[in-house]
Amino acid sequence: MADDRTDLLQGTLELLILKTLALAPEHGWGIAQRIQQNSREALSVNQGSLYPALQRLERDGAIVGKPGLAANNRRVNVYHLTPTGRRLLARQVENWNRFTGAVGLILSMG
Amino acid sequence: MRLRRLIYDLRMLVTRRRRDAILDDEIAFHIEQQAAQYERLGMTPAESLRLARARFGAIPATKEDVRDVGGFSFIDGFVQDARFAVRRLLARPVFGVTVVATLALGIGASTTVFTVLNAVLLRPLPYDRPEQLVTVWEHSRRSAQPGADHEDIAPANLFDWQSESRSFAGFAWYNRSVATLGGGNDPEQVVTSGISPSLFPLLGVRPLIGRFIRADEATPDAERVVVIGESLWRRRFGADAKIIDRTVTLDAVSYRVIGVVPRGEGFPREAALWTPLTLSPSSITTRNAHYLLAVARLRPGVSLSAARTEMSAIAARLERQYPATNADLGVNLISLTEELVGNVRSTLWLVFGAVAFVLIIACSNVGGLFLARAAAGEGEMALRRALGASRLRLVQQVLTESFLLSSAAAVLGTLIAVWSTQSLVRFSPVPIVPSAGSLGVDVRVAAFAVGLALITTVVFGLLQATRCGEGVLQSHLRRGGQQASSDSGQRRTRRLLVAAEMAFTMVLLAGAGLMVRELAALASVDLGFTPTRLFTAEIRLPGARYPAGSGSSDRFYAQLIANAKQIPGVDAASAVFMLPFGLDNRVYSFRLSNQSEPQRANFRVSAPGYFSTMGSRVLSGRDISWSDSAEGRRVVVINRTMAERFWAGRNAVGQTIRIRGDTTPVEIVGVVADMKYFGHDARPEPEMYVAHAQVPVNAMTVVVRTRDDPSRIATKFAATVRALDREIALGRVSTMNDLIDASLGARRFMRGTLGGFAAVGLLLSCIGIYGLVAYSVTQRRREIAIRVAVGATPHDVLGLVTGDELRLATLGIVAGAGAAVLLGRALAASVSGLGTPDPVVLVVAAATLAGAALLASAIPAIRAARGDPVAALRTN
Repeated sequence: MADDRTDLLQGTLELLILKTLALAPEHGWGIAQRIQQNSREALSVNQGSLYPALQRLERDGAIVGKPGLAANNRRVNVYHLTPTGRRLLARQVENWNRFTGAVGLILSMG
Repeated sequence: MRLRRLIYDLRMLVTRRRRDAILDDEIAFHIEQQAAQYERLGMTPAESLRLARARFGAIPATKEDVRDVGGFSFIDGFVQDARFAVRRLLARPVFGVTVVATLALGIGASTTVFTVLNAVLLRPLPYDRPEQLVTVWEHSRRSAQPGADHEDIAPANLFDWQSESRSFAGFAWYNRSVATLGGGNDPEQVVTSGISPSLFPLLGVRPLIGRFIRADEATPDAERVVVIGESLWRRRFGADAKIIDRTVTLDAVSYRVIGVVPRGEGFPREAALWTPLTLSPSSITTRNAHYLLAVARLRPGVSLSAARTEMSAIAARLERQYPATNADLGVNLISLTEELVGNVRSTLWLVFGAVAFVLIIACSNVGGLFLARAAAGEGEMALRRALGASRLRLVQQVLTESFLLSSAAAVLGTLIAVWSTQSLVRFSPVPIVPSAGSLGVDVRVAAFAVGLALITTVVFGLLQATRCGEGVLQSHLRRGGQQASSDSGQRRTRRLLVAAEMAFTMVLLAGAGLMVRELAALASVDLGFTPTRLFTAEIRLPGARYPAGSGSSDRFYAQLIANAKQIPGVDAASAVFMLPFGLDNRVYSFRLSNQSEPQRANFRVSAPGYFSTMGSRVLSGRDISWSDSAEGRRVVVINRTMAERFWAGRNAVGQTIRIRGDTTPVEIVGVVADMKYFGHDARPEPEMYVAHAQVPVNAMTVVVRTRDDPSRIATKFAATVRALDREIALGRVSTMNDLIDASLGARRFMRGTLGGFAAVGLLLSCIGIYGLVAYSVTQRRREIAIRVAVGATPHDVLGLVTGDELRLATLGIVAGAGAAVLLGRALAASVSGLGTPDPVVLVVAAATLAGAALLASAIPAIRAARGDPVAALRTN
């Protein structure tokens, strides 16, 4: 099955996770699905890097995983954004905007 | 931030199991959901699941990544690594067992030697500022006998040295003797020491209870007092504090106990009791009777060499002033530490050197094993790298494994050390510590062992870890898992290690061979008497009940000899003062009939029948007989050396001499063969034997020639003595062979030690060379198979795979032989009694080593040569 979705840029996965969780708490699969849906299937989450990224964010105190039950009786962590995570998101959004703006400026030349 | 991180880590650690389970579930859930999605797109369930799994990627790697984020802390990683390492080691137990055994042997041996060295060399003497203490001796420059620089001092010389020298803060003198400690039916021979009152204050020893001897107690008519050692106090008096002022009997004389010396602090160390050493006014001016031992304390700031210079000048002046007594008589100062541990020290450093060799061999071997395994484990490492394990993670795992191995080795090595320290203390020819039995493996030694284990861990861990470098792994994978044949650097290292092992083992073997040869040579030396089936016991008669001049001593020994001959199984019996190998001597001066110039000869007193009982030969004239009575003409028997030295070319029998200051001429009635008195390799000295009836001595050793095992008459002999006098204790009960064995103790000890170390070294080297050849055979399996397939004979293969290693072994052996000779020369200068390995020893050692190496390398080589080439080619 061919997959023409764009792979995520390095570092953007965490931004997207934070943004997704800012809307509602979600488990790993849900986060991956939401990123895909909200980007209108343009972005695909590398599933192998999703869980380490969640672990990193939790370690840094940006999110907190609370054990919950999903379909098929599977125990999963439902991740919530913490106040620290909210501040981190604001900073990363700002950085992202600055970055894309700068790239946009260069690309719009000539 | 830090604190939060720590809390997070701890929380993760505590909840690890649950979180792990959740992660598993999460991933499973993720994959199920993905598969469900694919199914909705119309795929079969099986295909959906496969695709979902593929999309997710390597699950173990993901889990590892999640763990690596943190939370799975160092401890956690370690526990996991340890489990993994144990599994890995159990999969190939030979490797683990070999490494642990090798390191444990190395650590055990070095720890043992460190413990003993520590106890003997590093533990200071139990005295105040012991570095200031020196022992003082007369040095008789005329005698070539070993120990001529350690002679007892004549009182007048000692007092002149004391009054004229400025180097010393104080002098103390003492003597040593043996006495019978009386008391009911249980008399006991004890070592006693007569001491000047200054001795214990000089050493800085304080009494455990009571007090020490006062100056006014060392006068001829003072009350008799005694100080006893703590060991004797505990053993014989039940550590009773009321011992003070009680009376004990020494050689039938009563003494009042005034104090107890703490255990281990007594001096001389073998003494159990101390009495005041009383010098009469006449003996203070004596220069021709030498019987005092002395110890002195240097003034602060005065060096030993400065004191030696000053004392030598004084002795030289005395030589000029009193030529009759002091000619060729110097003075010798030796630090007390050197005196007490000096003879042990050279032996111990030798042993330490041997142990260092064993340790080097062991480490080389372990290094070789690790290198070989690193090469063999390359495929596994490459695979794990490919599956996503980080390099750091692999290094961690390898280090964990090394750590486990060396910890096990450290524990086992310490156990070996505890055990072998105890055996070493028990079998050492010289007392290893003042208070024997208290030598435990101490904390420093344990630290030493752990340090060794740690160094081994790091070195070998890193050695192996370098094998999971990027380049090695990629080249390995490119080769399709085939064994590396190009890593010549690693192979060269291993071969160098094996060559070094061979060289060190060669040195150990040569050393052990030297000891074996020396002992064999000594055993064949003619002692001048027949030592087998000889029973010996020292019988001391208390002077109070057997006074000089009464003839009672002579009557007692004559009766005892007669009664001893009646014991069933006894062929002959006699008695002597100064038994061969009895570690004691008396040197007396004598004058030839026509000269006034004094000569010196060893002095002995014998009862009739001594020479025939000993199995010695009377060369001319006769033995001392029962008719040589106190009233009769004075007679003496001399040995061959004395006869040849003073009556060369003439018949000594019939000549007369005068012994010491005695004016009565003594007639030489016989010449006997030389007997070895001081050891197999001692040069014979002039000896003169006077008749006991004419010169009664109360400390004779009875010698009994038996028909079978001499130790079996001990009980009957003791009963014979008690039947004559029930208050007399037997001292130094032994057999002649045991005395001789004891004199060879130091050499036996070295032979056993070097032999043991050489055997360990040989075993390790064989393992090393076996491993190298086996490894090379595995590596070249394809090459060998091809050669066999095109017609190489097993012999060709053998030569092919062992040739390199045997050339290497030869190199090691030659280098080791060279080192052994050089080392032997260097040591012969500093260690007395140690020779240089001769060609026979070297050839035998080299042959042993070469034979062992050949055998060790032939086993894997033969296996390779016999292998089925087709099978070998298919395996790859």
